[in-house]
Amino acid sequence: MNRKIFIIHSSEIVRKGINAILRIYFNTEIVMLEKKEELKGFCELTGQEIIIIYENTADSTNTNFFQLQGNNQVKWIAFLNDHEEPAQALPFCKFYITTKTQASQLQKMVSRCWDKTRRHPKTSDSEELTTREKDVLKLVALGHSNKVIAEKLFISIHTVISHRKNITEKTGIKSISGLTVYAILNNLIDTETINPEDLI
Amino acid sequence: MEIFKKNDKLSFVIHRNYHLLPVLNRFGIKLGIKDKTVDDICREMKISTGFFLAIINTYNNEEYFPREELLTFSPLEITHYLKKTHQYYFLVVIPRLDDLLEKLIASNTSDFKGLKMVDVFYKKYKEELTQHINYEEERVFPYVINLIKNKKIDPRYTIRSFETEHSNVDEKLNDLKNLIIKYLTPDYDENICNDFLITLSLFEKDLEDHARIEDKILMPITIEIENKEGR
Repeated sequence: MNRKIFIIHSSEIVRKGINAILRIYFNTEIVMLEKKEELKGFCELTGQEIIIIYENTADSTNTNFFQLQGNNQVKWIAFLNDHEEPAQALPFCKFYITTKTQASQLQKMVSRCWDKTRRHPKTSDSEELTTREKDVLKLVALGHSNKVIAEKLFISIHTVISHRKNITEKTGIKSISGLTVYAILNNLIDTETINPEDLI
Repeated sequence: MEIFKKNDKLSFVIHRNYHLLPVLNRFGIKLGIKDKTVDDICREMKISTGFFLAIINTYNNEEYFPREELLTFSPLEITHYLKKTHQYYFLVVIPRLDDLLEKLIASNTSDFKGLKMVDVFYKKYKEELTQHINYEEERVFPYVINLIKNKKIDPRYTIRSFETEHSNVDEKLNDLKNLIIKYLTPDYDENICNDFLITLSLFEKDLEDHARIEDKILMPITIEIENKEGR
């Protein structure tokens, strides 16, 4: 997944300072903006891991963030200017920095933001495969291609792919041979008639 | 994020992250290091301190990326380190996994089928990993070494033509963990199973780090050299 960091602050010194601190440690694209409104230009982004470090002032409306928030994994870090009453923070913002924040603290914060968006396998509520998903899994385990599976089950290839995506999300298993083992462990294929070692 | 520096005592580094022990061994460093700093040890062992720090820091922090030093490292140093890592996998980690899995199967009380399947899957994984590593040893590294030593470019290739997918191999390792953690009936000795999973998880982390060094350090430097030589 692609990663981006946005630094939004009216002060050029602050923007460039934060940029310099982060560039040492993170091999990520960093975009510096003067105003929050300029984020509009990036609302087309999808499927990215984004961290937005923004000056928390009361001046702007937040409406244009929601598209970005909806199509990407976004984490927010608010920058509070000294001697200023902080504006009400965005509800999903957990981290704050000020001019007193140490460089290492900021780096830790960004690392923690990445950690949270990464690696944690999605845990959907129901892990149980549907009957149709089991049908597809059986055929995957027997080594059939998407095209053959589509023909056998009278569904489109697109639907087969979508089922396979759901199977992998639910089981946490990606490789075909891993799915075959899963199918055998769950007695979805009859190992009496087939030698399982040939399948894996 | 903690970044180790050349004046840190090596003992401090190990206390902070003992998983670095095998990494130190790959550089030929042995314990009994007294209060020597990273720099002291590197000078003694004739290792480039900058390279050593880059390696332990990338291992310690996934996000660490020594942009500045990147191009100062010698590709020969890097391939040497990567080869040592491969040796460690073949001589230490994989035999340990083989042994633990064998013991795990022997400890099984009833559901022989499940563990048998896991064993078949593990062997398949091992086979793929071996192929992948052999490919690097036989094709990729020699290409890089030849490029550096002879300044000769084989017109048939660039380093990009060797770019291989680590992801398939990584996928299988993760699947293996999930099969055991989530789906295998637990009628085996759990202490052996824990050891197996812990060894597997450490191996996974080491492999990720290894891939990062290849993709983020070796690859860009080699491309840079190719560009200089007029590719």
